[in-house]
Amino acid sequence: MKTFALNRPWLLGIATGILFLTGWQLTPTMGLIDAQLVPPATTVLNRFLQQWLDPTFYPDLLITVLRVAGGFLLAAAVAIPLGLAMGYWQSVHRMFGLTIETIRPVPASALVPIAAAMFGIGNLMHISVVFLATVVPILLASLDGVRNVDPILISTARTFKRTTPDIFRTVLLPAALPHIVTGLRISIAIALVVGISSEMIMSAEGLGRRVVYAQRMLRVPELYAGVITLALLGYGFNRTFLLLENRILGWHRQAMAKNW
Amino acid sequence: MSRLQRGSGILVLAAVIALWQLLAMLGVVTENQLASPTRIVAATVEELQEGTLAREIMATARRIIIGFSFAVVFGVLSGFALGRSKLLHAAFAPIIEFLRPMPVVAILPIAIFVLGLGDRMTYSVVAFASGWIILLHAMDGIRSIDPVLIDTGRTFHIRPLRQFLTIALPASAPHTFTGMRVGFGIAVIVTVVVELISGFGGGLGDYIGVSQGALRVPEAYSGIVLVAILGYGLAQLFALLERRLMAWHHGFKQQAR
Repeated sequence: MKTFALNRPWLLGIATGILFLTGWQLTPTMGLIDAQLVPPATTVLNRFLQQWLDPTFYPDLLITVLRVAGGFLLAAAVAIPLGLAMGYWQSVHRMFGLTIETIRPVPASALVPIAAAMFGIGNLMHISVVFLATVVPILLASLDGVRNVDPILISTARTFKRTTPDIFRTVLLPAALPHIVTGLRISIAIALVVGISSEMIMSAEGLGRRVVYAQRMLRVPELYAGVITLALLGYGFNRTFLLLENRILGWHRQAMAKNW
Repeated sequence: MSRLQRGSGILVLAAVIALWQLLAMLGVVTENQLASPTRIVAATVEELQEGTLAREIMATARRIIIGFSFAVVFGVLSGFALGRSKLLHAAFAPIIEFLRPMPVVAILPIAIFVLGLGDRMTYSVVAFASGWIILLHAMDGIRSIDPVLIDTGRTFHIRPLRQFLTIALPASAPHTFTGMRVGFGIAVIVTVVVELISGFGGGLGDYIGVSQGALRVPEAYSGIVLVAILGYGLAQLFALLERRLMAWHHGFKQQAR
């Protein structure tokens, strides 16, 4: 029986999933778990499907996505060039290294109250918090990426008397791309976590706020449905990013070698 | 390397702080929005002397350390179990892969709802968030052990327990320790966020939120600076521990260059 199961791992996975869902359905209905604390799976599923019919849901979804993506893209736009420069020129690295190291240990979510004092509780505040949280990881990844570029590539470009902007564009950026993309992948997850937590701390709209609202108003099925929505959002971001990653890195010999 | 070059980093940092101070003094940003560095330092010293800050720092540090310890135990044990047993891994793989990209903060409202506010909830959330990352790394670490090592163990008929302790454990240690390092960072962040959101039970997160709410902006900033220092300090301690335990690995990697 063990071999049967091991030869078909997907079967075991599905079995566990079904077992879990059944357990979730039965234990509250049978009273083994307080149904007020953990509603049955069907109740939560029902509420989850309902929210897609709710017109007020979509603005919240859109705002969260825009805040997270906005802060992330802004951070990438700033951090990638700066990281490349810091990796290429020791002088630039020395100039900004200390400041970066000082900012690094500050947890961005803790900055939400202060950011709110400066920018109010609108989109600007959330975007700036997400920006602060992701700018350092992306920068460090870009820096690392440049450091790991084969020096021969750079020497060759110099031998051909390429101008520095050209070298950045045609050699450094493409060669450092796998490293940068890995940094971006980690940072998008950070962006999502920070974006949602800042909405939970202080916001008038957005998915994070929805879930906290449900918790405070003791709307339990809505609470669980909201959490599932957040998990799906994370899953969606991840999938999208993997797709983009494959497109961007498809030609990169070094990156694709890993997939063999 | 001229002195000017070497000091350029410090110069830039000093320039940033000076600009900050200037903006605050000129009133370009109001007192309610941005506190000047001098005010922050003054507030920090004042609060430390009063003794309230020290208590908050200890509370946060306590939560980070205890939560992280639980996380290590939970994460390493289940990570190893899932990595070792093909059966368990196959069974839980879909759930794990689905939960992998989930933002851990999503768990917070449920935790507050089910466990209420208080230390039990804080420890649980920190342990879960941090332990999850450790679990993933430990599991990946075990699964990516060079098969030659395992086969060698089998060839020598080494008992499974001994095999685990002398082969699997050291081989997966680098991966696991990376997971612990990342997990520690997460523990710090999650602790502060939980304190901030729940606004209960003291700690630096609560201190920041309350100070900001009372429009005591320099105090709020000082809270943030202290969080950064605390996180950095504890992380350095952990790095020290890791260097001791993993000295053999670092030495080996150096040689390989």
